[in-house]
Order: sequence, then structure tokens, then C-alpha cells
Amino acid sequence: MKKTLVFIMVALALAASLLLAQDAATRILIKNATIVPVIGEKIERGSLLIENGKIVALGRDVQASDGAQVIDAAGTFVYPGFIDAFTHFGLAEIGAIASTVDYREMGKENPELRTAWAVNPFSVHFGTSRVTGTTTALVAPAGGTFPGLSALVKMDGWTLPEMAVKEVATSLINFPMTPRPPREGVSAQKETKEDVTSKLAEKIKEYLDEARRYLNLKRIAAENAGVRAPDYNAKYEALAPVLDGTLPVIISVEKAKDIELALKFVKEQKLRAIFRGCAQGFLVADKIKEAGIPVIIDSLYQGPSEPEDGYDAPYRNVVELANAGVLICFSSGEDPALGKDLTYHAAKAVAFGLDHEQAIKALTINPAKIFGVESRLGSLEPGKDADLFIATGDPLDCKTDVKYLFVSGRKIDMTNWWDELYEKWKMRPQK
Amino acid sequence: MKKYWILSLAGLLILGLSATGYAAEKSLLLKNANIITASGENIAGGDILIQGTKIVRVGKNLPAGLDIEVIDLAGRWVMPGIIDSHSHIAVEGDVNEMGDLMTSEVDVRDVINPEDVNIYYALTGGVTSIHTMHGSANPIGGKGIVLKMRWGKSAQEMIFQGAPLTSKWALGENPKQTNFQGPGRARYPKSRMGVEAAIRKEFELAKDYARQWKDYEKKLEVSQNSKGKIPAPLPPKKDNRLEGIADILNGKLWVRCHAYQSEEMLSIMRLCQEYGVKLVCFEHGLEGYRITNELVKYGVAISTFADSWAYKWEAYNTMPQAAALAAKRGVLVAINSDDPERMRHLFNDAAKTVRFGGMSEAEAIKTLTINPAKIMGIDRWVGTIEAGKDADLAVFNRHPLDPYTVCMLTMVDGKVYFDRARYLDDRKKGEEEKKKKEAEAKTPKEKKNGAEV
Amino acid sequence: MKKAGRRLIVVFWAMVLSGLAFSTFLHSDEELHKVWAVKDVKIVRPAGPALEKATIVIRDGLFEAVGVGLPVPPDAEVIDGSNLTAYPGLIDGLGQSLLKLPEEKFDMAKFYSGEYTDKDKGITPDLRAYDYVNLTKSVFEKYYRYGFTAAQVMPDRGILTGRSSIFCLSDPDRAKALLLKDTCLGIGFNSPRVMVYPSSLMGIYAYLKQVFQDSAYFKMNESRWLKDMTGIKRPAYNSHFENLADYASGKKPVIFLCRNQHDIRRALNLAAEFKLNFVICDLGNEASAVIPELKKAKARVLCTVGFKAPVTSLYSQRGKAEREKAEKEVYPKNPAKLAEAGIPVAFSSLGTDDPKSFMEGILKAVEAGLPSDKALAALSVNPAAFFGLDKALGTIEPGKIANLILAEGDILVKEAKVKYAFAEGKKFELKEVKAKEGEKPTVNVTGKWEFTLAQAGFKFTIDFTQEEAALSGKMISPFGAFDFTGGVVSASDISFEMTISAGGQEIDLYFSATVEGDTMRGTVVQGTAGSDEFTAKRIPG
Repeated sequence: MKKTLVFIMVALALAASLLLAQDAATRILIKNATIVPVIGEKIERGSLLIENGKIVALGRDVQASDGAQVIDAAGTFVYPGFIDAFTHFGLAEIGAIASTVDYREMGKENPELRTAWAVNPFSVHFGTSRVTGTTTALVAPAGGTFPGLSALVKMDGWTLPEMAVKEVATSLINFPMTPRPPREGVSAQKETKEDVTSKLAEKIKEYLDEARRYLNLKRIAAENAGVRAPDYNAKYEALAPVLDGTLPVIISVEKAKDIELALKFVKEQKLRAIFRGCAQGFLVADKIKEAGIPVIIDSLYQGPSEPEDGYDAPYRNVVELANAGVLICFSSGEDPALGKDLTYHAAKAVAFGLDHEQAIKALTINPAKIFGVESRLGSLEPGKDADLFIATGDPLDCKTDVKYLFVSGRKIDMTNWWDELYEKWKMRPQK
Repeated sequence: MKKYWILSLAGLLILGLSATGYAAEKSLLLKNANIITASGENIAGGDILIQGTKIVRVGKNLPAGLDIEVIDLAGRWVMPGIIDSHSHIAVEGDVNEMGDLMTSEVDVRDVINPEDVNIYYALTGGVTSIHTMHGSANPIGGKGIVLKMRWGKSAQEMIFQGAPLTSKWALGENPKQTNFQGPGRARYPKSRMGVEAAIRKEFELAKDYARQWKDYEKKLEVSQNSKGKIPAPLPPKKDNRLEGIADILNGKLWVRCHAYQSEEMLSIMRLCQEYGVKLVCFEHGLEGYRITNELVKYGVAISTFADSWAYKWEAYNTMPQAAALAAKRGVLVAINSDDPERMRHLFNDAAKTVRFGGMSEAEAIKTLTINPAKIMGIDRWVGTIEAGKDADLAVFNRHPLDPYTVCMLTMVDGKVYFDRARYLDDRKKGEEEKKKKEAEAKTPKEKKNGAEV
Repeated sequence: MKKAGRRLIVVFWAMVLSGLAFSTFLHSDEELHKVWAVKDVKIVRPAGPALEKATIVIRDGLFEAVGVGLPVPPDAEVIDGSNLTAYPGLIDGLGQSLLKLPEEKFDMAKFYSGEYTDKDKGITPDLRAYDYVNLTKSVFEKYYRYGFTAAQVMPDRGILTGRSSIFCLSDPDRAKALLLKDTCLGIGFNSPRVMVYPSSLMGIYAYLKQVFQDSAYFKMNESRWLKDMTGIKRPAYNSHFENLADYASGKKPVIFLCRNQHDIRRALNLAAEFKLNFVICDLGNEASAVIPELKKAKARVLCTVGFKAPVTSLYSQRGKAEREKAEKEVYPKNPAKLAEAGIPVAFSSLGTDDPKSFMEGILKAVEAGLPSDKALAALSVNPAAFFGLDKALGTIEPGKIANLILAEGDILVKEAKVKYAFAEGKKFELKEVKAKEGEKPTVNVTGKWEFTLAQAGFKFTIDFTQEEAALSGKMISPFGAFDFTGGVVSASDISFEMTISAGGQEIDLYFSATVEGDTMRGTVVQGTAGSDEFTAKRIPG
């Protein structure tokens, strides 16, 4: 009896010490930093406590229990991890090598495809894109009219399910649009007598109506024994949550005329829409605001959509949309190799008039709201995921260094492919 | 009478002085600027005196005077006009003549398009000179030229007088056409070793060609001395392509070689040494950080990106720290655009090298100014703000490496070619006019409706 | 009876056949009416005041006598010119719509092998307009209606586009209609191909320099060889040099087809370097930006009147509104500016589809400030002088070819009424034309058509079936066969759409075109990716 008791005591002690050890690894206190929670006031010389992957407390006088790892962050700044609202991270490595490019399926209608099945958590671009503070990204498919379903993932994890905040975050529709002017020397697009954009929009409506018909028939069949259910159609099934408004859908549009067409379309179809791009959004900002549709700003490595918009149109566009009250967020765009430039685009908008605080919100709480995850992400508040970073200065300044990055409370090893090369080749003896 | 003489003499003197005043070029004084000279220390609250197309003085509290127009820059930042050493804008038609393997007879000067709106966009980003050239589809492609962004002038007037002509080479995936899936017969070479062999072969052909001409000249002399006994020899046919290669071998063209991987750069440096070809600069050279010793030894510079990478395999083994690492180890590094959009924010690109690789701000500015000027052979005239150099300047509202900086004014040869304030004004006026027109278009209809009712 | 019957048949056929011959003789071009006298007509002259109440006598295809108070020859048929104005028959300085070039079959094997000949690359100095001109009476009528009785015809595609010939629009037999053969060599700055040498603009320019250089070298080499073959390397024969000889030596002119002002400067450089006899054809309507250089080079300019802003122009780069404004307000002023600066100017129909749109363009130029006497000169004496026909054409003077237009009032106005046209003394009377109806189809496109995409250079066939205004059909292309229905025909416009699958992708195509006779011109839009222009020709049979 005594022996068992001792055994149990020892076991319990062991277990307790193990637990403590675990706690020690997952309990982190960051002290003496300027904390920018995004919701609420900046905290000078503040501290933030992380426990079990969550933010437990932040403020002037936060104490840590024993066994917490302490990081003295004097002279640095703590921000919530940035959310990149549209990327192909994990679906492409090198653009010119087809075998490494995996975000585009053939055919026009693929609303059932899930990027969550195909994202490679060890893509080099996760590592190289975190360096400016991105901790979460939307990974989207491309191609056709209905490219598929995007996933919202954290920028670190052993497997996709471990990384996923939402395995199915949004659906997507590539709305018909007159293409952007080409970038170098290619002759201008020709005009045509027909209004092709409206015709293509009609086709999309028809497809959605087909889906509705299928879903309706399914419901009727379920309620009436005598009615035969339709054969299973994965595509229409995937559109069900889009059609009843539970799943948001990202609609890519650029020109003012197309945006107006899209607004009408969204209203008629009763979709929960998020616009992406809106290069000429500034011409119809009030209408977008009225419809309550948020906008994902695409990469600002582009010229004006129409020459008459002026050379600074892409930047001015962001400012005017924000000033009109549209909820905006930023994305690094379609090239995963340029993922770290998420902050560059935000900085460019600030340079041309966007309020700095607004820009930070557009990188944090705005996308969190847009994707419906503001209970977990987007600001430094107790109870939210410990997704944050510690930077040596203004995170929108590309000269700033991000010294620490945390995803779900784990301190991430920031060494990436670039660092490997740099560290190695620094060592070659100079002659 | 004496008084009369003195007065008239004085009058003549004054006339004479003012005559020279009229004959002298326009003077412009830029006051109260934070000057980044790129040739030494920055000057806070400094002045720049410009006469005609040149900078005549740089300093503090420079005196203003008669006939000097003064612009108060009110604390803004001025740097030497940005020089983009790798561009393809202002070229009419295809930037590559890829029908044949070597196209050294082709010359970008024949197809300059001074109406390319990208010239204006360059000015909005503070760029005042560019090196525009053939693409990278050929191991030895056509000739390139330096242009000043004199927007509104003719093609001839844009050419940078005195700048050396360049020859564009390319190694690696592009001349091998590996990323091409077009129809048409496969074009030799399909390997890197084939590219080098093809260049070597072309050099030999050019040497043979030069020999043919030498033989001809000798025979011609003999014939001329024979007083009609020996008939004049037939000259060899002039081959513009081989003449182009000959110009490379005799150093008339500055060679700019597009290359990514370290082994091909090393091989071509050795080949150039063998033939006595002055290789000036590697374009992109994204693996240049691996062979900095050799780049320094052979005196070859690199004109590269701040952080563009992973678009093809040969651009994968690199990092944003590459430019800074090469610079730290003694290589002359310029940061370029190779893209009309990137050209508008080269100053943002330079800022990245401060974090990635730890370049100093002064060195980062140099990658956009004096370094490309040296690579392009125009450092005698541009690349720094110093007395005697061209008045090519870019004015920013904040330090050029600040993330929120905006280019406010760009000047070439002392003339303002881009002014953001004026642009905003024009835009506002244009929008107001448009609104007016739309309002006018509506009113007659309303009147009509009223009449019908 | 049988014997008699057979004889009857023979006689019958003899009579019929001889009758046919007789009637052919009767119909051969009113040869009987070779003498005409137009009385009391007002003659408008390009230089000097009009001649009122004049008489014009035409005999044997030439003007016999022109003047006031002249006697009318007894064997002449008289036309009362008291309400008419006489003009010299207008000359189209350069066009290609009278050409019917052989169908270029899309060669799949060539496309994949990349083995292109010079012909494929647009280097065709051997291509002669004479061999491919298509002259028919119905085509002549289209020209006469707007006052044209002569035209220079030249192939205009490629780099060395071919050689022109000048025709009198008087006889469907080209040998009889020919005025001058192989007059000019066309030089363009456009390659029909990609990725073959030369296809970039700079490559084309370098090629032109090399080919003229080589041509001179060949000439020198050949003359040395023929003079004294001992010890001389004989020249390597290339048919291009033979074809280029007259033009490279300056004996005959080259016509530079300039798409914009920069091409004009390039052309002047080439002409100066190789001492070429040249004429500039201003396809881009930007010659007025190059006036000092044109004057210095003593250039002659053919003005086109399509007035479309070139792709390189600032207006095109500033957006649709600016471009359209410039096409309305700036470009039509081009001929007036050139004329004002004293540069000799003629008109070319390149860039317009037919004589109607050609004249509409000319009237735009007049409206924009070109004085009508200068416009008339640009359509008569100037083109005659440019190409060496000034002793035979351009004015109504005795001894010159009887190309004459008799109109009610002015011909350089909208709704001009040309009543009679004389081409080489052969009279043609023009009747009124009915106006077009509204939306009902005025064309029927049923049948097979061959489509060519302008930019892509791609060809395919569509077999249409039109029932009233409804259009359906089938496309046959290298990617497969695709059906479509639901197309619409409205007046002479058609539009239809179809979905094709290529390379695993589904592509939506939207076609819209205007039909004229057996040709179509239109635009095809591909989903959201881009658009291209196309032409289509009906496949006979």
C-alpha cells in the first residue's frame, strides 16, 4: 500500500514537473516594449504575457509566474501579427517551373476545390514572407470563373490542419473584367461593339441559378418520399453556403464600370461579398461603402488601370476608399516570392495620405473581421491567439528588423532560406 | 565734357554687363534643402546654385542675386537624379531580336520611342537617366544606349551625349530558351556550355573577318603602288553583324552581360580575359555574392535587384542580402529596375538593402546614383551633387529611404520635368471640368422634360 | 432527212456561233463611240482659275482638244456640259484594295518546324502588283462614283513588300489597263512573324541597312566579275539583288510605309544613307511633326486619310477619350499642315476600305483646313508627278490620257454627284444609289469563310448557316471543330459567340463583324483575356 502510494506520489511529481516544464515552454513574458494592441491605446514600456498559445494579459504591470521565459524587449515594438488577405503561399515555389506551380486547375467551374488539401506547409515562401511580421495568410486558388475555396492559415505549423485557422475561409468568383493595360510595350486592346462583360456576368448568374435549382430539388426530395433526389453534384454542393450567405465570396473586379456591375450582381444574388482589387474603386467609393462590401487591396506593384487615372492612381485609390469608409485590408498579391512586401504596399498608401493607424488596422483587425476570425486574431487582447511580432521600429518601414515572431504562442525560428545562404556565403574567405 | 565721357563710359559698361547678363544662361538657386550629395556628407539646410544645365555651387547660405530665380525647398530632401542602369523602356517594337542567335548589328538607337509614357513615369519616381537596351534572348544581342528623361523632346535629343554604347549579352535560361514552349525548330544552344561555345565561335568569326579586311588593305596598297599593273583587289563584303562583334573585341562597346548563376559568370569572365574583352557589368547577377573575390579581381560590377527572386530556377539561390554582401566585399553594385513599374520606386528598393545585409544609408543611395553612373560611363557628368555636374536632381518630401517618401519634383539639365504640385493642380482642374460637363449634359434634358409636362 | 437534219444543225450552230462572235464584237467596249465632245462645261483646274463654258474633245482615248469656243467634230457624240463641272480623273496615289493576293494557307508543319522562307518573313521584293491586280467593271464603278479613274496598286505587307504598278481603271484586262509597271518598291517596318529574323523593329531596320549595303556590294562585285573574271571572286547570286537593283540605284523610287513619325525619321535616315529616290507614305498621319526634316530632304509625301492615332502616340497612351479626340481634331489637320509648309502631297487610300471611305477621309482633311485646290492637286498633278506620269495624266490637256470626271457641282464635297466618268476615253454613266434599310439583314453569309486573325496570324474556317437574321455555324480549326448557334445578322453586321476548348482550357470567343460582298472585317474578344482584329474571305464553291 505504501509502495503504491510512493509510486503514485512520484508519478504525480514527475507529471507535475513535466507539466511545469511544458508550462515553462508555453509561458512567455515580453517586457519593456512599446505595445501596439490596435484595439485600445498604445502601451509604453508595457508587458505582454503569453500562455498556452493565447495572450493572457498585457499592460504596464504584468507579472509572470515562475518558469516563464522572459524576453526583455526594451526599445522595440510589439504588434499583432499581420494578416495577408490574398496569397498563393504553399501552392507555388518557382513561377517558371510548372511542376512547382499548383494553384490553377483547368476548366472554368471548380467551386469545390480546396486549397487546404494542397498547401505545402514547408514552402520556402512561408519562411521568407514572415520576416516583415505576417503571421496569417489567406491562401487562394486561381483560374477560371469559380477557382475554388480559399483557406486561412497561420504561417507556421507541421501540417496544414495544424496551421489552418479556417480550412474553408471563402469561395471566389473571378468576375469578368476588361484586362489591365499591359505593362510593357504591348499594343493596346481593341474595342468591340459588344458588351462582353455583361454577357459573361449573365453566364455566371445562370450557373448560380443552376446550383439553386439543384439545391432546391434536393430539399424537395428530402421532404417528399416520392421525389427522386438529384445525383450528387460536388460543385453545386460547394456553392450552397455561398448562396445562402454563410460563406463569404471574394470577387475580383478592377474597373469602375465592372465594379458597378458587380455591385448589382451581388445585390441580386444576395451574396456575402468581399471585393478584391478595385483599381478604380475611388471613382465609385460611395457605392461600395453603401453596399457594405469590404475590399482587399491587391499588390500595389502596378500602374494606373487607365492612363487618365493619373500615375499615382493605385495609391490614391486606397486612400480614397478608406476615407469613404470602406473596410480595406492589404495583400501581397499573386507572387508568393514577394510575400514580405505586404508592408511595402501599406507604406505606399500611407505615403500618399492614408492614416498610419488605419494602415495598421488594415493589416490586422480589418482582415480579421472580414474573414470572421476577430475573436481570435487581429489585435492584442487577452483571450486572443498569441500571434504577434517584436520589431525594432515602425513595421511599415522596410528598414525595420523583425526580431521575434510568435504564432499561436510559439516563438518561431525566423531563419529562412535567405538566411541560410547569407550565413554560409558570409563565411567565404575574402581575397 | 569729361563728365559726359565718364557717364557714357559708365553707361557702356552697364550695357556691356547687362548684355553679358542676357547672354548668360538662366540661374536657379534651390534653397533650404537636405542635400544628399552621394559624394560625401549630407548637407542639412543647404543650397544648390544651378546655371543653365550645370550645378555651379553646393553649400550653405549661398547668396542670391539679380537674375537668379529662387526656389525655397523648405527642408525637403534632394538627391542626385536616380539612374536606372537596366531598362527596356522607350524602345519601339520588340525588345528582343531573337530570330537569329547573335544579333550584334541591331541597335536600340534606331528604335527609340520618345513618346513612351514610361519616360514620364520614370520622372515621377525621381529617375533622370536610364540605360535602355536589347533583351536577354541572345548570347550576344544588340547595342544599347543611355537616355536622359527629357520628356517631350525628340529621340535624338534624349540620347545622353558622351555615354558609351553598350553590347547586351545573355547567359543561362533565356538564351537557352528553356522556359519557352513555343513552336518552331529548337534553336542551338540548349545548354550553358553551348552558350559559351557559341560566343567563342562568334569571336573567332569576327577575328577572321578582321583578318580578311587586313589582307584586303595590304593587297590594296600593293595594287595602288603597282601603278595599274596589279588590279585592285575585291573588298570583302561588309557584314554589320561581325562589325558589331569587332566593336566588342576592340573595346568600343561596353559589355553588359545578363547572368544569374555563379559558374556561368566565372566562365564568361575567364573567356573575356582570354579575348581581352572588357566586361563591365553583370545584369542581375543574383549569385554574384558567391564570387565576389573574382568580381573584384576582374573588375566586373553587378547591376541587380533588391529582392526580386524565385521567378525561375536560376533566380532561386539568392537572397535580398546579396546586394549588400557583394557591396561590403568590394564589388561595385547598382540597383536597377528592369521593369517600368519598379523603376518608379527604386528608392524603396534601395531602402531594403539597409535591413537585408546592413548596407549603410549612404551606400544604399550610391547604388542608385554614382554606382550606376560609373557602370554606364557617365559618372563624369552625373551621379552626385557636385559643382560642375549636370543639374539632374530628385526632390522628395522625406528622406528618399523613408518608407513614406514621395517624389515631389524631378529636374533634368536644370529644367523641371516633373512637379507633383502642378500634377495635382492639373488633375483637380480636370476633374472639376469633367463634373461641369456632366452637369451641363444633364440640364438640357431636364428642361425638355419640363416643357413636355 | 437525217442528212438534212444534220446540215441544219451545223448551219444553226454556225449562225449561233458567228452571231455570238458578232455580238462580242458589238459589245467590245463601245469601241465604236471613240469620239466625244463635252460642250459648255466648267473645267476645274488644280492650278489657276476654272475655265467656263469650255469644250473638251476626246478621241482614241486621249484628249484631242480643250478650250473655249472650239468646234465640235462632226463624228463626235455630244454631251451637254452646261450643268456640269469637269475634273481630271482623280488618282489614288497608293492603295492595295485592288489586289487579290493568293490565299495563304496556314501551314501547320511550317508553324511547328519554324522553317520560314523569306517570303514568309515578309521579304518579297519579287511580289508584283501587276500579277495580282483584280480589275472588274463593278469595282471600277465604285471608283468612278467618287471621281477616281487611275490608281497605283502595291502589296503593303511585310518588310520589302513588293512592287507597285499604276493602272488606268479603264479595262478589266490588266495588260490594257497598265500605265506603268514595277514603278515603286514598298518598304515597311512590320514583320508578319515572330521569333524569326528579323521580327523586331530594330532587327528590321538593321536588316534593311544590310540588304541595301549588300545590294550595292553585289552590283560592284558583279560588274567587276563581268568585266574581268580573272582573279575576282564571283558574286553570290540572290534574286533579291536583281529585284532591288533599280531601286537601290535610285533609278526608281521606294515608298516607305511609315506607321508613325519615328518611322518617317528612320525612312529619311535610310534614304540619306543609301541615296534612295523615295516617297513617304504617312500611314500614321504624323508627318506634320517632321516638317523641317522632310523639307530638308525634299521629301514627297503620300497622305493617308484613315486618321487613326498610331499606337506609339501620346494620345493612344493617354486613354480612349484622348485618342478619339485627337483622331477627330488633330490628325485630320496633317495634310493641311504639310501643304502649308510647301511639302508636295498626294493622297493614298491605304487605311481605308473602299473609295467611299477614301473620299470621306479626304473631305475630313479639307474640312480640317486643306484648301480644295491643294486637295485636287494631291489627287491629280501631284501623284502624276511623283511617279513620272505627269506628261500623260493629271490635267485636262490635249495629248493626255482622257481620264475625265463630269459632276453636278463640286466633287470635293459630301454627297458629290458624279454623272459621267471617262477612263481612257471610255464613257461610264453613273446611276443613283438607293439608301440602306434599317435592321433587316442585307447580306447572307451562308457558306464557308476563311478567317485570319491580324495579330495572332492565325487562320481557321467557319461554315455559316444564315436563316433570315439568325446565324449559326461550325468552326474548323487546328484545335478542333466547334458548333455555335444564336448569332445575329443586322443590316450588314453580324455577331456571334462560341466556346472552344484548347490545351485543356475553355475559351469564350465573341465575334462581331461588318460584311461587304465576300469579305468581312471585325473584332473577336476572348473572354477577359484580350481581343484581336480579323478579316474573312468567302471560300468559293
